[in-house]
Amino acid sequence: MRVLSVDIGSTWTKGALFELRDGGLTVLARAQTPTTAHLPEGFTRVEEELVREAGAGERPRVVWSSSAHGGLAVAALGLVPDWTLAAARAAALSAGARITSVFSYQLTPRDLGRLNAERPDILLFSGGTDGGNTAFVSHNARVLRGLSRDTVIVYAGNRDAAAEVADVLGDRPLELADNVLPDLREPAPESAREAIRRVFLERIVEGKGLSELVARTGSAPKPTPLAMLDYVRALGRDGRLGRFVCLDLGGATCDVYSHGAATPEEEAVATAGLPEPVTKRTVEGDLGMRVSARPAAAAARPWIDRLLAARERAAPDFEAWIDAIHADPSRLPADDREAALDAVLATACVGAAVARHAGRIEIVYTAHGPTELKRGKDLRGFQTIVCSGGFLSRGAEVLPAFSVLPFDERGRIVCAPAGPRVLYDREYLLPLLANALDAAPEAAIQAGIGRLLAP
Amino acid sequence: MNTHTIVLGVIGADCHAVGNKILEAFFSRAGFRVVNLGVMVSQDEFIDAAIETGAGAILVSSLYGHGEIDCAGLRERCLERGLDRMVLYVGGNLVVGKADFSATRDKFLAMGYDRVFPPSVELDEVVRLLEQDLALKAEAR
Ligand code: B12
Repeated sequence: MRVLSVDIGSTWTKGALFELRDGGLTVLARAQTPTTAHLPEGFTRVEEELVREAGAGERPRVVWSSSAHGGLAVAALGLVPDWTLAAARAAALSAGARITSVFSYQLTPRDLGRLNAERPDILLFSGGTDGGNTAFVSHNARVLRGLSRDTVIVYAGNRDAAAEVADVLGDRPLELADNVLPDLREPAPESAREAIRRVFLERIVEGKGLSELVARTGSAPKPTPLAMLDYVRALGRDGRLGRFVCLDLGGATCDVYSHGAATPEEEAVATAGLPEPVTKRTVEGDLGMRVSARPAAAAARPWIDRLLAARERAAPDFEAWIDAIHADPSRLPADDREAALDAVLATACVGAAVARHAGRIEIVYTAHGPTELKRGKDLRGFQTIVCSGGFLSRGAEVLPAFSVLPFDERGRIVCAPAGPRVLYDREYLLPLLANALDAAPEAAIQAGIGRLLAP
Repeated sequence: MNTHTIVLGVIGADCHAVGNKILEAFFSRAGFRVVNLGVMVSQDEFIDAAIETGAGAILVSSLYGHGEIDCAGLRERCLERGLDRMVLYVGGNLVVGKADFSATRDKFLAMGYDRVFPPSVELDEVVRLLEQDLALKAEAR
């Protein structure tokens, strides 16, 4: 069987033609072209090139993903920031969304104005555990009557308020899902994730000019980050990578995926906040190598300062390099010096992105002596880092990202990987293999792990 | 507000876990929906949980002797964050050593707690008082 995999990204549309033979996947051809305003054009170009290069053969099964035209833009609304808002955010991220903005407590007219200016594809509306608070949801539902019809509301809050929400908002695009936080200790993102997927397929694909491709290829796309998250989960189940973190650093964003559950020893430490998912994704819109170079230079400043500290005259050179790539995002390093400066930016982006993905340990001084209190995901014992994306896959040095800043701005321990091995997706094939997961699960996993572990 | 939902936890850096488990089991059996936050719970966590679950009461435990410092200001914080009718109970070994309990009670009542309990309290009695206090607060709405 042939499998044709295409990913429509915001700048590049990339594809690979695989052959599934004797349970293994081999690459017959690769192709890429700049993403076109009308998305199917670039797709077709890649498809034709792949078939031309590989030579005629049987009709391939087509699998594809898209993050073009802003990806899947989701705003999240919860009640308390640390509880339902955190749960809604996590659910949206696990559905492959880009979070545009977040809101808690009562929505104000100003918040509504902001939502209507941003026009996200979806507003994930939560609040209250099941049987819990309904007053805020009730208020917010009324405010949301003023929300633009371009935004679909997915309600995933207190079950007791669902009927009222349907009543108040039923005459506009609305999907009802189960509560993302039915109980404080048990986030339940599945139903909201499924509702987001439905909305993506039914309305967003249409709006982005992709329905033509659905009709032609006979298959529905996944949001790119969702395809990756599903793939990371599948790679994790294989076991050979151990508990691992997968980094995808691009020009605009840095996606961080992690897979692994806490060990009994890690669970013995007192913890606060929501329980962490085994497979987790976060994405940072201010940490990127080109379009986001300026914001990254500000957000990752502490890492940059540490990384530059050892070098002479590095700081002014670095600022000049940021100015240069900001002015021309297609600029690539021309010599070793520029390559070294670009590497500092990459390492700093990774450091900041992983620090946000990772949990924190706070030392609380008790009558009993110092005691650890943990919040968020503990990656210290994670064994492997997988580097993907154009800026990392060629062998970027990422380890300093985890060691130069062991503490955060509040003096807490950052639970980043302590001594991992680093594996590279040298051919930058993981996103395309991720698409192949549903078509040929075992072969897609073996091909990915085989490539990562190849010497 | 939900007159049958209550939030439980051991405040501050206190890790005495046994009494907390007993309270959870006891109040669950008495018919309450118990949201137990466990040990080492901050004031804001109590309040966040009460807002989110729509709880009618917060039951704070303090066993390790630092109750006075940890518990002060919870009532004010509740008011600030919109919980204007929360029933607040506190119990355990609230102060260091064997101070006279009535002095301890007065101290915590002055902090805004509705009721203050020593370790020796009969929990059946607490259930009776809690049902009564929750009904009163619900009526006052
Ligand atoms: C076991 C124990 C520990 C264990 C705890 C293990 C664990 N994770 O649970 C360990 C060894 C870790 C420990 C440590 C410490 N402990 Co200790 N510990 C005890 C001990 C022996 C038993 C506690 C217990 O489980 N009791 C059984 C349960 C069922 O009872 P309870 O906790 O009192 O809870 C009941 C009631 O109080 C009441 N109640 C509690 N909260 C509330 C709230 C409301 C609203 C209501 C209505 C009722 C209520 O109902 C509960 C159920 O019946 C007590 C002494 C004692 N006999 O109580 C000391 C004791 C509590 N510990 C004490 C101390 C000082 C400490 C340390 C500071 C010692 C040190 N310097 O290292 C540390 C503090 C650690 C920390 N950060 O919290 C002192 C506290 C003194 C004080 N308050 O003046 C005690 C009283 C011992 C003593 N007499 O000196 N301790």
